[in-house]
Amino acid sequence: MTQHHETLAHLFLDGDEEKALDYMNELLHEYSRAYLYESVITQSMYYIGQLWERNEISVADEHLATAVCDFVLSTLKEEKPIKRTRQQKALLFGVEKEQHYLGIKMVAETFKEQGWRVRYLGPDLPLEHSLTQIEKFKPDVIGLSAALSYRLPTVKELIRRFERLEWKPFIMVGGRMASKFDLNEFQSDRVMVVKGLPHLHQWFKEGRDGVINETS
Amino acid sequence: MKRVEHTFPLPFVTINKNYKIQTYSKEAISLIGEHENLLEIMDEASVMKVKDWVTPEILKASVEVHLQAMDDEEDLLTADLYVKWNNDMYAEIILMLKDEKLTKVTKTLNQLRSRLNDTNFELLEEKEKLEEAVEQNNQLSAPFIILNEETALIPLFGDVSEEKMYSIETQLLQKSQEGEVDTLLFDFTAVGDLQRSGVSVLLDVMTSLSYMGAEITFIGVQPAQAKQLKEMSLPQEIKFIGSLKTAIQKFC
Repeated sequence: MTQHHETLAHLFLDGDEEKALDYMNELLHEYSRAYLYESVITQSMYYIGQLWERNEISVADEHLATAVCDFVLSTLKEEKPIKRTRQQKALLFGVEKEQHYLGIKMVAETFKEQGWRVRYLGPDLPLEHSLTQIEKFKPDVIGLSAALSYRLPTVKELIRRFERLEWKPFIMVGGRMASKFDLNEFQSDRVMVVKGLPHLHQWFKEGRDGVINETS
Repeated sequence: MKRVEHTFPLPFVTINKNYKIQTYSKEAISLIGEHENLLEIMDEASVMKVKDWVTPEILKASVEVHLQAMDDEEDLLTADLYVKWNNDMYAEIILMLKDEKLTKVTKTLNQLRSRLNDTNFELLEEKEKLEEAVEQNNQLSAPFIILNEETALIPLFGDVSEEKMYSIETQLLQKSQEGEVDTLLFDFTAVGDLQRSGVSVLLDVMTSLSYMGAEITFIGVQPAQAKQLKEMSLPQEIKFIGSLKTAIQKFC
């Protein structure tokens, strides 16, 4: 396989947003958006992380790459959402102090493609702020994302608070933390740990054991 | 572990090959606090990097790492480690915090990004409201008017677009099934543009309706529209009548 993610990573690191966008739009002819998110964009950012670990790039380079990647995600041609009769709502954000947000941004795009109404509130969102938005928007799904293990206590607290909401929204926990650590203790009939975009797609298709999707 | 006074005015430590801190300078204490081991002060994602790069096999190295913040409220600190191994056992390390400019740029970037997101958010609310209005408008552009037991009139309003045709499809199919109606008169008098993709959806709806047993008549098709319709392959079942007046005389 050609190393699309490495090519893209170097375009990100060069700060060449035009070329990066062209490259992605070209790949869109050949591959599905889901594939690009998971196997090209996500992998390119992991690859950039590895370059930093290998002492080949600096944090400043990483920030530039993140900004360019963000731009590409925002500018990438929109896909026509599937028509739904009753529109479901999802509210998504990165937990307080969490600065990693590209993953949850792709999750937001994925929900939109599935015809959901989406509120993506960005990273580093304080608890009270998220609660205000949630009360206002009354989402069917609340998705929260965290990358580093330091956020575990925050995630725990958020779940505890969201479980008390009276309309019983479905809570999804994702981010690198979810694929790296065992978060099974968080799982319940209303809380699901999402281990990456393919897992989310599977949920859209099959629901969670085929039940949750119908009720949420 | 002992404190050394006679060294550079910089955060400075010496470690052994197990990363145990042997000596440290005053500046090191104020930066990282007192710790037994160098790895303790590293951010979790930097531990592996230190293990890979701070090793006697690499005599001199400069490595960028993240230090855990001393205070819970602070963000991670980015620093460069300048490492020199004196022998296989001991290394001298200077910890240099990154230039504040980088932190400033990072913070500004984050602020700009969240500003952008806020603005989008408000726009999105308006966009969604508008979309709802358009959808509602679309659904109202094909009212189902029952003329008598067998006949219904459906005047179409505005452009025939794909989006609009999709939003009237369900209610048309439903309403024509509900009643006893089997003659459907589609009035084109108030129709503007016929968009190709819209017409193709409209014809699909017509086919579905005729499968359900309805007889379909198009009324008031204007010359330009007739030309466009000719280019599409219309189902055989569709009949045409020039004006609404004639149609009503015929069916009512």
